[in-house]
Amino acid sequence: MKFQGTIIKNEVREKINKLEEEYNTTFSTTQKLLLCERGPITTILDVLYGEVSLFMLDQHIEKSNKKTSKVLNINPGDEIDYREVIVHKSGRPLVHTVSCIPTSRCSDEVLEDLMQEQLTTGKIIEKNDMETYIRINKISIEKPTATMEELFKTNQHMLSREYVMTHNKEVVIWTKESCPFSYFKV
Amino acid sequence: MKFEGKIVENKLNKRLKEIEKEKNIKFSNTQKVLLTVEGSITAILDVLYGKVSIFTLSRHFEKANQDTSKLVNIDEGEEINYREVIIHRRGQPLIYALSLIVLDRCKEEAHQDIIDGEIPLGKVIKKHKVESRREIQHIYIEKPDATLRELFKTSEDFITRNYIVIENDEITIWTKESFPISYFSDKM
Repeated sequence: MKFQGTIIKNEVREKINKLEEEYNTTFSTTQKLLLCERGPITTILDVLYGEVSLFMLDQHIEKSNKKTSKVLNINPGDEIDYREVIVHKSGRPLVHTVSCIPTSRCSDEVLEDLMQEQLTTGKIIEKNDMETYIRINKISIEKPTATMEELFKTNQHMLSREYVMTHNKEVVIWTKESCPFSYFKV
Repeated sequence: MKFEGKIVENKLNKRLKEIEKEKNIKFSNTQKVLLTVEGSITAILDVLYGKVSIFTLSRHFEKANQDTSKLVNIDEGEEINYREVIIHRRGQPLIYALSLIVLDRCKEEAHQDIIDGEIPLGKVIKKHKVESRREIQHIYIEKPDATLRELFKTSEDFITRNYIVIENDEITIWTKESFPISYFSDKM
């Protein structure tokens, strides 16, 4: 049988190809997988590297600023849960994640789960049977901040992606995941 | 800084390890990811292998029988959209997918794209911003039936996973995805 059919358009592949061209580099299979997956990245890391752990760097409630209110589509000053974690394998950092969650859009159960440090946001969504839509907004290579340099003990560029999840047609979480550019090369 | 914290539980990884032990095999990283991702497998194949295409083998409406009605949790005799496709790259088959769709439960704007069958279901979900969740139900190794043998020109074992897509707390799609065990392996 001869297989025909239309080629499928894929915006994430196009973004990845553009970055490869711009930085004259080729991403590894694992890097590509981590950049394009629409589910929890922790699951992939766990599948690829064995049991991984979650370490909470910071979690607090704050007022949203201009930037966070824009990505979450809320009013500046509205309350958000700021969550910063490191997914690591036996102490070796793998991915740094920052998430901002508008508390007014969370159920009491989700708010309670957010306070549980061992639960990833992906697990919280799964645990609460939340139906979501994920939109990857940005894939980029950027200079590391002082925090990143300290956490990963490197000054190399970081590979990052930003995405939002909607639930009941409202953005319920904005996430930025980053890792050093040399990670997951094999 | 010393990183501590609890290990994140992952049932799917445990299942993969069970199969590896049972069959005395070792999955490649790509196979592991293809079997456990929640997002669209087509998008992943596309990113990994370049432009891929979808070829519809069969699509039609049919009455649910005893087996299919259970898979999507509807009554026997109710209508389902049956969709059987091959994702291929320049004619080389990559993955076979069979989906049973309960059209009435799907977001109305997506109906035409589902009926047309020109774009993969993952893409339909993305295009229409469908809020949903996926539950991977089973991952297993099976002997190919005549269709799979004919499509992939092989009689080797196939790796298969079944999952459901849930929208508004109801199953909208049941999908089975299969590929030969030698595909996407480290030897490939």
